[in-house]
Amino acid sequence: MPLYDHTPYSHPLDVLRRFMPSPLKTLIKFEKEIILVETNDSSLLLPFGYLDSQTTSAISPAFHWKLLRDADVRGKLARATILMAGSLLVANIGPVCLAGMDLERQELLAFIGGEVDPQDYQIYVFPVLSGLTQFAMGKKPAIGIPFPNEVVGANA
Amino acid sequence: MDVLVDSSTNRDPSAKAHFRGLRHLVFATFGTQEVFAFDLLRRRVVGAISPATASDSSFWNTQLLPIMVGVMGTTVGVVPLHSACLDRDGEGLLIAGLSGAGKSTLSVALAQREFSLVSDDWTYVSKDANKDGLIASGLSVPVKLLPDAVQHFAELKAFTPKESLNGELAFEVDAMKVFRSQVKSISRPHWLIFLERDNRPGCDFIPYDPADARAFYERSAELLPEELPEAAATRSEIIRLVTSSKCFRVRSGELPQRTAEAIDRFCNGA
Repeated sequence: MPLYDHTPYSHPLDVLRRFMPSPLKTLIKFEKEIILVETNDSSLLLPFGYLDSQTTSAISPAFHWKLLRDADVRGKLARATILMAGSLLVANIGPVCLAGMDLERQELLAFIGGEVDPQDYQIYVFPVLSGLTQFAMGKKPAIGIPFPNEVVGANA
Repeated sequence: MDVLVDSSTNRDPSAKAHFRGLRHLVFATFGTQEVFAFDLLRRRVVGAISPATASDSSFWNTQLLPIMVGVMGTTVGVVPLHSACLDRDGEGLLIAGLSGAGKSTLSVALAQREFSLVSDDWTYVSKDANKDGLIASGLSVPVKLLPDAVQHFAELKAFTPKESLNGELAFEVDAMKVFRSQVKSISRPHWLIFLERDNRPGCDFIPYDPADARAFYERSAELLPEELPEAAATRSEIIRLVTSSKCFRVRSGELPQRTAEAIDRFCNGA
């Protein structure tokens, strides 16, 4: 049973939802790297293979993902577009899924709307998040959407 | 700022702006395909928009520019304060107060007197690079008045309230055209008043302790992430300087025009 608090988050001084709690933390293995994932919804961790707790104690993660289920945002996923400026890589799959990868800090930050079900997450969203991470690893992303070299000519 | 104008991107003119932020990143979307991302650590912006949006000056002036200054201003020393600002002879009057206190309505009433309107809602305050002191700037965006303002300003009868950027139903009108107000883009903060509605008739001016004024602004400021300590320090410094002006609480049970008249007299004597 996924752990997920469906209570909409609201704070009058945090309209951007920067401080939405993400109490679930785990280390996962992605390709050959270890990623620390922080989230408020365990269903967003389903595509991963977990590391057992004995393995994780001495590991320093190469990447940090913060994935937030955003209960307030309704709607369907849109066509993904990916943009880049400096060390920032952004994926927009409509307002229901926004993700940014900071290449320098090796940090992926994403909001995923309340109506994005586990199947859509696995088929459409997770590959984009993976692609951003692969790009940050210096690998060619294994997804069928154009990455910034093809979308934005250069990082002016 | 890098903006991709993409002919395969469609504009949705009915879409509301949507914002989210995590750590040093802020996203703003307009419909399903148009997006901007703000990197507050490196002061960079990247976006993708349709050709229709790119050529719409109203989008840049009334949506993106206010959003950009609001989101990124603090990182470059321009601090957004939730206050109106009016100018008289180069001296600025900042009006703070809780939501619903009547800042915008009072601003319009003052702008129908000897004051020029700088801003009715958000004022952007920075240190003056050339002189000691502060500069308060507005963005020349339309004045936003709640539907009940029509009882104070007959000029609004010709307009219909519409849903504004934050979802509120409001009149959004050009103060110069509708109220024939003088408008200025900058001023220098000189007076600071905290407006409070009162049920009793009259209009009282009570000196306000700068420490309390500072606490009011700090309490009502957006939470900033730990990644931006310099922005938080800059904001506190600007708030300290702003609240070093002459601060007063103004408790008014009068109509906006009568309150404006009292403030006008008060500023003449202060």
